[in-house]
Amino acid sequence: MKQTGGVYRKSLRGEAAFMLPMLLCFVPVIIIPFFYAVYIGFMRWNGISQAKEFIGLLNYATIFTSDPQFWKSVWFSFRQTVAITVISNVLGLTFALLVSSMPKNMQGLPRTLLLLPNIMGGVIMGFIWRFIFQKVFLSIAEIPGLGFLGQSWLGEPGPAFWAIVIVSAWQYSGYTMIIYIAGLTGIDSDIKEAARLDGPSPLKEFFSITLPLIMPSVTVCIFWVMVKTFTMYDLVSSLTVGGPYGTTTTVSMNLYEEAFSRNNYGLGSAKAIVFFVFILCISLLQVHFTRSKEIEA
Amino acid sequence: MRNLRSARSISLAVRMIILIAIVAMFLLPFYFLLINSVKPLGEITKDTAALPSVVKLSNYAEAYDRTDFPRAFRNSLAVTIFSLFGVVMFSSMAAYRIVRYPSKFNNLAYALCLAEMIIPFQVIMIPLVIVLDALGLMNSIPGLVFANWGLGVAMGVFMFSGFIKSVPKDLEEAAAIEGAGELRIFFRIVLPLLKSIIFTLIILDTFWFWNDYLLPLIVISRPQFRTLPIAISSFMGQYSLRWDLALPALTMSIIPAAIAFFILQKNIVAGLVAGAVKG
Repeated sequence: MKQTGGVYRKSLRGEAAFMLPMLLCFVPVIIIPFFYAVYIGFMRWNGISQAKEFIGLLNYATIFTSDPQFWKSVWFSFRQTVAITVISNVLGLTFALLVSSMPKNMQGLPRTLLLLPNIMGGVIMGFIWRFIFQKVFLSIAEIPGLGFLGQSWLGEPGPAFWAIVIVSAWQYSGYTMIIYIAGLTGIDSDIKEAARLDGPSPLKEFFSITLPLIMPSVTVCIFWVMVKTFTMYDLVSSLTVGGPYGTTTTVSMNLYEEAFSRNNYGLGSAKAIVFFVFILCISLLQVHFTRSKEIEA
Repeated sequence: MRNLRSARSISLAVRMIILIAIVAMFLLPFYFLLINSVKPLGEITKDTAALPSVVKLSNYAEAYDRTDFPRAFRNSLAVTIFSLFGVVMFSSMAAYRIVRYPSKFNNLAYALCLAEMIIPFQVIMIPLVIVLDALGLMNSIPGLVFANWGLGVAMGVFMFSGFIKSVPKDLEEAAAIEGAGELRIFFRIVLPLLKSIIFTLIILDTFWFWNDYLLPLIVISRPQFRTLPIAISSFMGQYSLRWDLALPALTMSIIPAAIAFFILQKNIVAGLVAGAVKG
């Protein structure tokens, strides 16, 4: 046995010793809840009573025909995702280009300081920025030309939308910068030198040489921000609490309220499955993009 | 050629000034947080941009007491440390087994771990409450730790298995010939070789577990088990107009992470880049 199998011989004991600790937490926390969510999505259930009533696809019918609040939150999260993904990637890439154009010994400090907002959780960040929007901007607005800062940021739907975008971009662009710097550092200097022989303008050099070479980083950053933003809960729960008039309620908040405030576990789970399908589409898109880039390279 | 290029591109000095301006703007929220945290409430209300006339450190003392800061801090620390320990141990062991002994079952376990990484927490959140309740783990620190283990092992398995593939088998085989058992081989020979990837995983997961909000929000309702984000959030609910107490509380809650960040900044940057593969 030992000779043929080497170190890695078949043994149920070894299998159990190594795999069981992982499976004993992975299965009850992920696998069972996932399928259980699918199951209760077909039920009417308040989460407390013994009786679950099988209602087939009725929860899904409710979602698709008579739940405008859910679709409002989907539309809000979608618009947030587009705005935040674009802005934090443009900013992150700009910062990365700026930082990596500095002499080597001057790159560390700005990189660290721009990453600083990432140490905070969304809730804490939301409270800090509530103070900035409600109090600090009011003081700064007295400076001539900055009067627009004095508007009611969190009390009107339009500004509240952009308030969340600003705070998210403030946090995420430090992260995307780190990934872009890693991508830029990875570019073979020979390729750059060779391309420069033609003497392209800086703008042309960026779009036709640098950008194509860091496409893997672009894909990673875009999808990282997309998933983060589309699943956002913490920041909005402390910054705007979904208001004003529920206009900044994210999908996650709608899910949470359905299950834990209105005690509709069945409908909440069905929404969770619809939500999962959205995320699945984003992930499949990412796989598609990553693959097509690999073929090009 | 070179001169022509540098003349056309923006000069270093200008780029430096732009970068300094950007960094300064990025840090402004921290500046306003700090200077206003030591002002009396009247001064905060009057002008947030002015420097404090007196440094009122008693704001911090009062916020420290009213948030029951030490207890929330201890809870967060316990959750983070125990969660990290379990995730690192369980996922490294499983990844080792999966790589070295790719049976059908182990391949399935690996595939499930990959699939897990696209499931957002919100999807399993509702049934997770029911499972934890059935296990008697609701409203407890162990419940939070257990959930973190389950949520964290998939990425751990993914990261460890990628690394273990590049670890040569010679040492393990030599030890096996000398009669060492499988577990002994793993803990004595393999685990020490995984140091760098363990460190990366710890960095990524520490910030996650420390700052996590939604999981403790649904698991913990008793005040004595609140983690920092939950404690601060409920404090803010009561003292939303008392910025002289809220700002010190917020500052205190980010100080531990800020200290860790400045000490480990190089490792954190490396860890973020290595972990970027996870969506």
